[in-house]
This record gives sequence, C-alpha cells and structure tokens, in this order.
Amino acid sequence: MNAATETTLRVMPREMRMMSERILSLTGLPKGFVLAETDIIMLSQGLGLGGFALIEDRFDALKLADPAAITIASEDGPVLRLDAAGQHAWVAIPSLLDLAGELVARFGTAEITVANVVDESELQVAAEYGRRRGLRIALDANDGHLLLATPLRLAGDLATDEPVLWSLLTDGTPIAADLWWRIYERAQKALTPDSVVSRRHAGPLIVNDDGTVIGRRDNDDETDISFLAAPDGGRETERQTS
Amino acid sequence: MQTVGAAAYPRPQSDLMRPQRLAALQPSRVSITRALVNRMLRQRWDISIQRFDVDASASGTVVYSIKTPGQEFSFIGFSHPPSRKARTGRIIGRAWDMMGTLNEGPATDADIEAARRELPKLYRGRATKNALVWCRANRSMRVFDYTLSQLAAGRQPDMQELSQVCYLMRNTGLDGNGTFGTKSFPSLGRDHPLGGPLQAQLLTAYLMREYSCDLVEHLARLQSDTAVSLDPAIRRFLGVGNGSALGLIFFVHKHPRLIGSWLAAREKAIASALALELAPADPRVGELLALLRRAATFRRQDKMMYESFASSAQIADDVDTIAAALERFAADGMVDEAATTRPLQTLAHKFDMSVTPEALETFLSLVIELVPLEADALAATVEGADEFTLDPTESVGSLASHLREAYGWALEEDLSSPASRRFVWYKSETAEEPRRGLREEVPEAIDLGLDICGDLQRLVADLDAVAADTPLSRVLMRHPEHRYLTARVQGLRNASFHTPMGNINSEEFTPIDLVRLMNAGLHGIDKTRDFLRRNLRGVLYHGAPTPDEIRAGGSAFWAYPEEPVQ
Repeated sequence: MNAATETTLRVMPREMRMMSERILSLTGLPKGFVLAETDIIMLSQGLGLGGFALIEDRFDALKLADPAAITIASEDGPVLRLDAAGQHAWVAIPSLLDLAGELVARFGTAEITVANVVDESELQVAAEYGRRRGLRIALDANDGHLLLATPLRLAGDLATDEPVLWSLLTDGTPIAADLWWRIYERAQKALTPDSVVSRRHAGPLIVNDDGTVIGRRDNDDETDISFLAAPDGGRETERQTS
Repeated sequence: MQTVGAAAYPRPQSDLMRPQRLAALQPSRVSITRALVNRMLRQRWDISIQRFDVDASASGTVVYSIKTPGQEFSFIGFSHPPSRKARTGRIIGRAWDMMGTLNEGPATDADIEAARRELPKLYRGRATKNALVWCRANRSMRVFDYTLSQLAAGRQPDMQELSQVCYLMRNTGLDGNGTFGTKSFPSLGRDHPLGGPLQAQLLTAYLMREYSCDLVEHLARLQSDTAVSLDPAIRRFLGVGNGSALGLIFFVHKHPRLIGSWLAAREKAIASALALELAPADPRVGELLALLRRAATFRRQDKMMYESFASSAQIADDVDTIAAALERFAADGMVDEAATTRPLQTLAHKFDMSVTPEALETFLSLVIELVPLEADALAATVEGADEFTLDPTESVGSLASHLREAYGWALEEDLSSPASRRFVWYKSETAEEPRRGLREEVPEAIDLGLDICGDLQRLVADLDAVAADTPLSRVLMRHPEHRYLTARVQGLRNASFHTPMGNINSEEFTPIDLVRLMNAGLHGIDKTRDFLRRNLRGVLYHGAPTPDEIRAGGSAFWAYPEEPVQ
C-alpha cells in the first residue's frame, strides 16, 4: 500500500449523496429512481459494506441495471418471493422495502425472500434504510436472502430512529483518499464539459464570437472577458495562478 | 384564514406560488438575514478582531471571534492582492480577493494553518472537523479603490459614488453543510446558535461585510499616517454584495419543505398583522407610517438599474400612495370614505391590484413589524428536512386524486410545443456552475432540472392505466422512474406551500423570478439588480448594525437605510 492509499478522508453525507447521484446518472437507471438510491449507497458505506468501492467495481453492471425487471415470483399472505432478475441488491432494495411496508401494513409482518440478486450481502442496507419507513427488518442468519419485517415505532428523533445516518451526519465516514478522488473524477463525467457556447448559458454577460458583449456592465465584478471567451485559456490561467 | 374581498391571508397556493408573485416578495423581519441580525442584537453577540496581519499589498491573514451567549465561533480569512486575470463574479472565476472559513470554537494555530493549506484547493480541499462554512469574496474594484484612496487622503468617500453599488466586496461563494467536509447542518440541532436554515452561511456573509470595511480602513492606514476611518453612518450604510443565479432554482426544487415552511411563516405573520384592530391614534399606525415613508425614501435614493422588474421610482410612488391612505386613516379613521377598525386589512385589499406587486409586498413586509414577537417566533420555526419517505400502502386512486387536486396547474400545462421543452438545466464540469441552455446547443448535457410538469403528467398517465385500488408498491415496481416524485408528492401533502407553479424548461419561464424569491424574500437582500433574466446582484446587510452596535444591543428597525448626509 502506498502513501496515498494510507490516507483517509472524512466524507460527509452531502458529498456522498452528490457523488452517487452523479455516478448513477451515468447508468441506465431513470432519474426518478437514482434519487432513491443515493442513501442506499451512503448507508452501505456507513455500515462498512461495499459502499463506494463497490460502486466502482459494479459500475459497468449498473449501466445495464433495470429495476423494472424485478418481479414477484410468488405471494401468499405476508410471505413473498421476489425475483430480482439478476439485478444488484441496491437496485432491488427500493421495491423490497415497498413490499415489506405494504405487507406489514396488511398483515403486521412480512417475510420476503429475494432470489437471483447480485451482492446479496448488500441487502443488509435494507435493515437500516427500512427504519426510516417505520420497519424493523432482520436478515435470517441462515439465509441471507430472507428478510423478516415488523413495525418499528419511530421516536421522531433522528439519532434514535436512524443511528447510522445520524452518525454520518455528525462525524462523516472515513474513506480512502485515493478511492474518494477516483469516485470524484468519475462523478465529474456527469457534468458537462466547458465550452464557449456553454459559458453563455450562465452569468450576467454573454460574450459573442466577435468579442462583443450582450448585457449591462454595471455588475461590479470586473469580469475578465477573455476568460469567458476562452475556457481553455482560463484553465491555463488557473494553472499559472495555482 | 381571514378574507378581505378578493385578497385572503394567508394567501392560497394558487396565488402565492406563481413565480411572478414570488418574485415580488420583499425583505422582511422573517427574512433570514434580518432575523439573524435581530437575534444578534437581542443576545448582544460580541464580534471582535483577533488578528489583522495584512500588508500594504493586501496579502495576509485575519481572524475574527464571534461570541454568542452559549458558544464561540471564529472566522479565519486570507486576503489576497486583487488580480484581474480570470476574474468574474461567476463561480467559474479563479481570482478571489479573500477566502475564509467560519469555524466552531476559537481559532487555533492548527485551524489557521489547515485553512491556509486547504482553502486554495477548493474542490480538492478538506475542511477541518469544526468548519461550518468556506467562503470566497471579491472586491468591487472601482468602489473599493475609490474608498481606499479617499480614506488614505483623509476624506470620507462621496456617497454619490458609494450608492452606485452600496458595498465594497461581494460574496462569490458560501459552501457548507458537508461540502468539502464541513459540518452537516442537520447535526447542529435547533439549540445551536447557527442551527437554523442558512444561518451559518449568512453569518459568514455578515463577517465578509465587516472584513471589507476593516480591510479598506487598514489599507488606508498603511498608505498614510493621516488616513481616516469610515464615518460610522457610512459604514452602517454599506452592506456586502451578493451575486446569485441559476443554482437557486435547483435549491428551490430540492428544498420544497424549507421554502414552504418559510413562506408559511411569512404569510402567517402578515395575516396576524393585518387582523390587528387599530384606532386612528394607535401608536402602531404612526410606526407603520414612518416605516412606509422610510421605505419610499430608500427606493427614491436607489440608483440601481432594473431590466425586468418595476423601477424603484415607481415602487416609491406606490408606497407613498399607500402611506397617504394610511395617513388619511390616522386623521379620520376612514379608508375610502368608510370607517374601519382593521385598516391594514382594508388597505391590503384596496391596493391588491392597483399598485406594483413590489409595493404591495413592501407594505405586507412592513406590517410584520407590528407583530414582532409573533414574527420572531414564526421565523424560528422555519425548517425543512430534505429526505422524503415513500408510503407504499397508498392506493393509486388516492394519489391520482390528490395529484389532480393539488397539481392541476402542472397537469394542465401544454407540453406539446417545442417551446415548452426548449431548455435544459445542467452543471458545467468546470466549477460545477449551474447553467440553462437551448437543448440543441448542449446535446451532451445531462438534464438536472426537475421537470415537474412533465414528470407529473407521465405519473398520472401511468396511474390511470392500473386499477384504482392497486397499492403504489406494485406500480412502482413497473415504473421505477416515478419513485422520487411519488415520495416528494406524498411528503409535501400537508404543506400549504412548496412548489412554484412553473415549467422551468419552457421559454416562457423567467429564472430570475425564483432567484429573487430566494434573494429578496428569503435571504433579505436589497437592491436586487437583474441581468439577462437569470442573474441578480444585490446588497446583503444594507444598513445592518455594526459589531459595536450589536454588542450594545437594541431593537430598532435598521433596514432601508437612508443615505448618510454629507
């Protein structure tokens, strides 16, 4: 292990949520689903499971993820078998929690088996994430695919209701620096490369190709017009002054 | 809810949540900067300079101490000589005249050295565990240099020059709540002196303002033995500049509970004030009259240029018209030839449609001053957790019915024309600047905006395709794309206000409307000049008390400062 990998960073929830949202937006997962996934990955990291190292390892597979492929294989009262259709556990957890919540509301308990799921150990995240919904979820000690859910009375206090999230909010979580910066670089790909045209899409001024300026100049920021007109030149300036 | 003819307070969502209405909201006692300063005054916070090691080139280190009744904070700033290269008020800029950090606890040498090392790295930097906010600020070069030269020459700067801008430095970035490893604000708790929404960022902005005045005086003294300090009245008049733009539309959509909670607090305070029974001789009538006259004078002295908004001259005329009607009530107890015991309600009704929206909102903001205790208590309730929890047991029919009732405006939006989806919202790889552009100009951009109209229409269509008694758990298996919006809608079901009624992808949408909601209404920024319908420049803490005045305490109204007479 070199010096860089021995260094850890204290990373906070806001950053974890942002990075996982950006990375997952590069996959085929729909935007409305991605926003439900970010806390799952954060909790995975907080629980000491796969977390951000796993998102790196599984990124190519997640590009092909299809949560709609997950189906109910069988159902009998509170007992349900979910066919995850080869999807990652993170992708299956939202439906798993929905069904657990529905069955607990109807029957007072739920017993769900998740079949055909990738990285089944990540199903442990469901136990922590389910607390937010008022669900006490336990994984069967002998069968990591089997989850038992019962109602959980919430105290209305985050430290009590969601102890892992509270710990992350108060202290963050240590992540190897080199891993985190790789995650950061990957997430940057969800952002749009700079260009002269793109720079016209924000700001109080627009610099035309011929150097003329659209907009009033009473904005008091003494804008370096050449900087706006030449993003590459701007990066050069950045290097020179750093 | 009190009804006054067509106007009712608190106003219904269908009125208040129109972007044009939201854009007209004015700073008030429940705006966060004003509420914060009033609390600082009540609690007599002690803000002092601990260190000001800055040389004549403006290079150096400063440290401020902020003592609140229960906790001490420190502001560590690094001053840099101004550079004109890569300088811009936009977040993509690379030239900053000051970078700093607001920390919990007194500043230690280790804190200072860590900040000195990490702040310049920005996105690659890591805050210390006690850091709340990282910030950056730039001078208004013209005004700063002019003020410096005058003070060094032993003269006060001319108000004609200062009032063109009203600040010496401008905020160019406030990052906290976990960004760069800063503390997560939800972990602070309500009892923390800065535990309320945006409090830490906006205290940092106040310190920027103090720093800008301290710096110009310090540099003047280094230039000349005969330099003078800023006249206290001028120093109080000067605020700190603020530039805001498209990122606040993301903020509004991402924090609907916070927006709704703040709007509800403001509307309740207004409703309470309008319901006051007031006799003509009631001193509160005179108090309000003085505030209205002060606001009109402030507007008359405003030298800013506005593109999309009503001119300050027009607003001043309208505010004076309202004041004249109140003055007539004070004389004979009549409004429009009719006696009234609730004159503020009557006036709100009378001027609802006949003055500029900004003038009406100025009146509504000022009536809040008549119920200060209630307003301060309401301001203290503003909050909004970000997490939404989905209820999978709700039936399709129930959700569809709610959507039709609460989001009719979005479901009726015509999305068939190209104009309705002309724009894409994205962030640049460089500095993560929020941008809005024509889709064909940035085909590679990932759309980060909330397509509330399109998403709701698609959700309803999919709900209508299944049996009404189907639980949402089953529908979301087939339609995972609706998961976030479903949770958002459910989570906001009991909120009176939350989502502005607009299609942000349409060419008809004016981004500046929601930027001004945030800047003027929520933050409490004055003189919000607009540029290209998407950027605002304004003045924070315009007229706010200085640290000496805060230390002395008090409760006097300080906003809408009159230009110091020279």
